[in-house]
Amino acid sequence: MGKFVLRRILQLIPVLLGVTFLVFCIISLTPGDPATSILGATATPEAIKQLNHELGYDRPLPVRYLDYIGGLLRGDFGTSYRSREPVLKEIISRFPTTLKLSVAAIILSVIIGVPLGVLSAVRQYSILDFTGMITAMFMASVPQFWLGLMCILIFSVKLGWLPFIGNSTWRHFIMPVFTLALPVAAKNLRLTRTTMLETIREDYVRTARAKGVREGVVIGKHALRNALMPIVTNVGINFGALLGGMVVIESVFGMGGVGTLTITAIRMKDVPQVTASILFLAFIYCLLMLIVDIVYAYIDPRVKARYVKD
Amino acid sequence: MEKKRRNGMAAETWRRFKKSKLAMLGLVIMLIFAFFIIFAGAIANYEEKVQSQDLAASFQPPSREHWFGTDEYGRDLFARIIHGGRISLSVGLISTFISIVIAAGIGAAAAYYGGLFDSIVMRILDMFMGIPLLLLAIAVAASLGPGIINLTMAITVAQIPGFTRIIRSVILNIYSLDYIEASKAYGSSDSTIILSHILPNAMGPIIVQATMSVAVVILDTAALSYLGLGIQPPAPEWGAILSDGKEFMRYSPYLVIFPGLAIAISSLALNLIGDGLRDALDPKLRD
Repeated sequence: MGKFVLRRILQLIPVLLGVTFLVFCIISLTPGDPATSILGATATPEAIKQLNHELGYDRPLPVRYLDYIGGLLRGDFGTSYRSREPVLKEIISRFPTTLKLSVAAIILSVIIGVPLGVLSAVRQYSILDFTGMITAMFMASVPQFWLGLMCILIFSVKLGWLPFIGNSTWRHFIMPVFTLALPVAAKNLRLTRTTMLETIREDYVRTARAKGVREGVVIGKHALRNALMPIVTNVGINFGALLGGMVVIESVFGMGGVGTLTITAIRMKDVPQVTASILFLAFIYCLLMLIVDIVYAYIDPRVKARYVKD
Repeated sequence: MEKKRRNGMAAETWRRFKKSKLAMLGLVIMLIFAFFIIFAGAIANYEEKVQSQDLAASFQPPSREHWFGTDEYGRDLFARIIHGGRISLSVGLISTFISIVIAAGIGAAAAYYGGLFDSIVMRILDMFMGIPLLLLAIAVAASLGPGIINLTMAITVAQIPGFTRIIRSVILNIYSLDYIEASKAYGSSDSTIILSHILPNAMGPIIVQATMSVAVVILDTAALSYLGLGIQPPAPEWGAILSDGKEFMRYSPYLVIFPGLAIAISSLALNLIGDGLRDALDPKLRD
C-alpha cells in the first residue's frame, strides 16, 4: 500500500510542473510589461526599461519560467506589483475562508445528495423519485451565481434573515455554502441513484435478500457500500468544479477568499498575484485528486489487492 | 445501400428519443428559444429596443408592453434577452464545435498512432486536467482581455482537453471491436476503416457530450461575463445583463430573475436533450 501511495505522489510532480508551466505561459500572454503597469503610462521609457531589467522581465520566457520554478521550490511565489509584498502572504491570509467554504460545501453536498439518491433508487418511479430527479436536473442547470443572487434576494433583502457581505460570522457562510453545495448535491443525487439502481440488481444483493437479511441492512451494507465507489471518485472531480465556482461565488457574496483575490488581481493587472492565486487553487485541486485516489485504493479491495501481494 | 442503413439508424434513434417525455420537453423548449433567437431582429429592432436609451421609461415592472420590464436606461428587457440569446448560444455552439474538431484531430491521432505520441498527448492532457475548467477559462480570459472573440477562445481552449480525452477513449474502444478486426481481415484500407466504421460509430457519444457541453458553456460564459471577464456592457449577453441588473436588484428584482431564468432554462433543455440522446443511442437499452 505504501508503494502505491509513494508512486502516486511521484506521479504528482510532473503534473504540478506542467500545471505551473501552463499557467505561467497563459498569464505571460497578457499584453504589456510589468514596469508599465507598476509605474503607470506617464513614466519615462528609460525608467520602464530600468525597472523591467531589475525585475528580470527583459530575459526570454523559458529563463523566466525556470527562475519562477526556482522561486517556487524556495516557497517564493513572487512579489505583488501593487502591495510590493510576497503574494503568498496575501493568499495564506485569505485561504481559511476559501477552505471553510469548500469543505463545508462538499460535506453538505454529500449529506444532501447521497441519502436522497438512495431513497430515489429504492423508491424508483415514485413521486419522491420524480420530484427529486426534476429538482436535481434543474439545480445542475442553474448558474451558481444566479442561485446566490436569488438567495440574497429572498433571505437577505425580503426576509432579512441572513447577512450577505463579508465573512465575519458563521451566519455569513450559510448562503454561500448552500449555493456552492446545491448543484454538487444534485450531481451526487443523480449519480447515487444510477449506481444504486445498478447494484440493487446485482446477484449478491439478491443473495443477501434470499438469506433473509433485513431490507435496511441489504441497502445500507451490501448495496450502498459498492455504490459508493463512483461517488468517492466524483467528490474529487466535483471539488474541481467547486474551486472554479468558488471564484464566482466569493465575488457574489463579497467573501474575501482566494477567489475574490484572483478577480481583484485580474482587474488590477497584478500578474504575479494572478499567477500565484490560480496556481495555488490548481495545486489544491491536484492534491485533492491524490487524496481521492488513495482513499479509493483503501475502499476498493481490487486496487488494494494489487499492491498488498508484493 | 450504405445510405439507407444509416438513415435507418437515425430513424431508430429518433423513435426511441421520442419516447422520453423529458427529452421531448427539452427539444420543444430549445425550438421555442431558437425561434425567438432567429427572429429576434424581426420581433424587436436592435437599435430601437436594445441600444437606444429612454430614461423616462426606466425601471418599469413587467407589463403587457414590456413583458420582462425595462432596465435603468429604459431598454426593454425582453428584447435584450432574445438578442442576448444570440450571443450566449453562439458562443456555446461555436466554441463547442471548434474544440470538438481540434480534439477529434488530436484524439484520433493519439488513438491511431499510440506509443510515444499517445503518451506525450496524454501527459499534456494530464497537465490541463490539473486545472479546473472554469479556472482555466478565467486564466485565459484574464490574459486575453474581455470581448466576445477572446471569450470564445478562452472557453474553446478550456474545453479541448476534456473532449480529446473522451474522443480518444471512444475511438480506442471501437478500434478493439470485432468488426474492425473483420474489416481489416477483409482487406479494407485504413481510410475506409476510419471513415466508414470508426467515425460513424464514434459520432453518438460525441454528439451527446457536445449537447451537454453547450449547456456548460452557457453557464460558464454567463459566469465569466458576470465577473467582467467576458462580454462587456452594453452588449446584451445574459451574464452581462445579470451583472448590470444586480445593482438594482433590491427594487427591480425582475432585472436579475429573467436573464437568470433564460440561462437556467436553456441549459436545462440542453441537458434534457443530452440525457434523452444518450439513452436513445445506448445499445444496452435497445429493445
